[in-house]
Amino acid sequence: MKTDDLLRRTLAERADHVEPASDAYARLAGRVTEARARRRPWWRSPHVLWLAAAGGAAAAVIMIGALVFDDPSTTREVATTPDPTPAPSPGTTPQPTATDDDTAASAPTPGEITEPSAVVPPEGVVWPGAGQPLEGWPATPEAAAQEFVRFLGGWDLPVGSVTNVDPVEQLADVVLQSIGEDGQPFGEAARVRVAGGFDEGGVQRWGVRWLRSDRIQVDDWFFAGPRGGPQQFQPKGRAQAFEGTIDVTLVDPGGTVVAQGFATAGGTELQEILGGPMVLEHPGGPGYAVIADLGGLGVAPTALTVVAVEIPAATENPPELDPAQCSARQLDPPEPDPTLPTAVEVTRQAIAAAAIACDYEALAALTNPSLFTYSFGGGGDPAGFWREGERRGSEVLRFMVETLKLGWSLDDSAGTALYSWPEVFSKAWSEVTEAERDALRPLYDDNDFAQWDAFEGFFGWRHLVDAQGTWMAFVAGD
Amino acid sequence: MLHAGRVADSEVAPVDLGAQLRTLYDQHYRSLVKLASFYVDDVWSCEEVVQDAFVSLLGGRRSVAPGREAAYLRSAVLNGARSALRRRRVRRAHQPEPSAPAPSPEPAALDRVVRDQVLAVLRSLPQRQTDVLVLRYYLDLSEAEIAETLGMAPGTVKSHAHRGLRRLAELLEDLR
Repeated sequence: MKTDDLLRRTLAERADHVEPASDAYARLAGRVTEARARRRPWWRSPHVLWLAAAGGAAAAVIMIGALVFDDPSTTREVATTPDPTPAPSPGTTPQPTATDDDTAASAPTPGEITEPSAVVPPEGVVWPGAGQPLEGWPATPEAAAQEFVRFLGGWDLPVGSVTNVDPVEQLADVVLQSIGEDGQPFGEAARVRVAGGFDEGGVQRWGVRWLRSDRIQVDDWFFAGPRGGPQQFQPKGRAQAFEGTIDVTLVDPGGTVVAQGFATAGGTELQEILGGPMVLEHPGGPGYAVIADLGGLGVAPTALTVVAVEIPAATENPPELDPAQCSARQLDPPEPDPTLPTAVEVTRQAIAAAAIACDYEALAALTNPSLFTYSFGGGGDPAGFWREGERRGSEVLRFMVETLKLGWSLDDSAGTALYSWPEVFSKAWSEVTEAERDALRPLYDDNDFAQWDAFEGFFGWRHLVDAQGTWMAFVAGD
Repeated sequence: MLHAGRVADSEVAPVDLGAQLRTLYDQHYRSLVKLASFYVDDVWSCEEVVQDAFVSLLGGRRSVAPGREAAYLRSAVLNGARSALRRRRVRRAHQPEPSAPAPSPEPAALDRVVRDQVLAVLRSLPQRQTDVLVLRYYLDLSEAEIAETLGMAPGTVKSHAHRGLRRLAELLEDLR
């Protein structure tokens, strides 16, 4: 028997002896739900989520500062206290800042707020690569911003929030606590096990670092990693060989160092290089975005210089909303579509009619609150969300109506028939025809298209309605 | 244009998530558990690795381009499987007994000794060669798909496959 045939049969026979447990799906669904519930990124939530960070290798991640959004003034208030925590030296493995078991006694009680702190980057320190443009980097910050902008959230690192540190096995417990816009904690604090740079769900405790001002922190590099493969990284302690750290310097567009730190990388992350342009807008205020398109480097450098660009503040005082007016007021309803199931078509027309009437409450009444998704940030007030969107000029109701005039698709692959608008939502972006792109043009601009090109899929506004006519979602984002 | 009131977000809507999870589970879960079994001996650990990969993909912390989910899962499973034996994992309270081995449906099954030898030799190959061979000869992936999964150039895949298969033949010959 030829070697390849022998190998093929061997693998097949081995696989025949392996079957998943009967409850695998239930366990998996529970784990995914749990993971999502506790990992909502801060910029997508109406609340602040601070993460008391970790020990061992996981605590190579330093999280500093505090943040608030939706209310920029609050951010300025809470993140101005300098912290004497020294910056890690380049080329060294950063050490945990608060990871000993003896800190357990001072761990914050669930619900207790720990005063946020901030780190002021040392002045005059030039790190390897500081001020030097990254090879292949766009020539200007504006160009870079079009290439890729990633918001980096900041999390606080209260002393004592890390317990049960096992530096050998690189395990630690960390505490998660949500804090509302009023600065008060809400919900239950969660203690999360972190292991060796990964949490128990296998999610990397990505690298992180910095802040610069009293307004925003730089954090969350989880998609950035130099191309080149794990072998290019220095092993980190007893961590896996494919884990490692890399020194990172952030500079402003003028070349001034605003922060230094390190990023960790490991496992699949090294193969998860950012694929292309991505722009995420800060929902509530000014901040820094790190422009990090590291693809194409070819090798993994030992240090990176990345440009951080300040994001302009959102409109401070959007005008009050005229209840009789909205962006959909002058629109025509969509033409009836006899090819849709009656229940679906009825819902489609009802949505459009309520939007054209600028009737937010009527729109909300069309939803099933337990099923409907209008924002990935959660919350239970779609009418308020849409009203605020209109007040801020996002023309959410116009999108709501116009999207229903675009083509639809049916997805019944998961056993539940879902009708979605626009049709392109269900397609790979490369399969979207010119005609379909043209149909989107009145609603979206070149920047949007650039994002979808990079993302390889449409993630603008879309409706989902099930076969019974239940309005399941009107949401944007990826 | 994306306006301030619009949420640019990488989380998946609950309705999408459920459907996506179900679809990905139905299409890939079983084969990924079997894939992990080439690296990890017990079925429970294999499932842990695969579940970790799913949670990593769908847990809300990352955004994987549509169409790339399978490659991501395969990659995560390969990395996770290799890590599983070296890293102490946090055990969950719920640990069902591993599934009982099912009899091989193939009447003319390979001699178990031969099969174990092949697997042992396969595991002794350089990591990437093992990965390439498993992906190619178990999952029947194309070179392009393997390249996407492992983050390497298609030419490198071909090279690893050629070298791996040749080395496998040499080592098996030595055993005879």
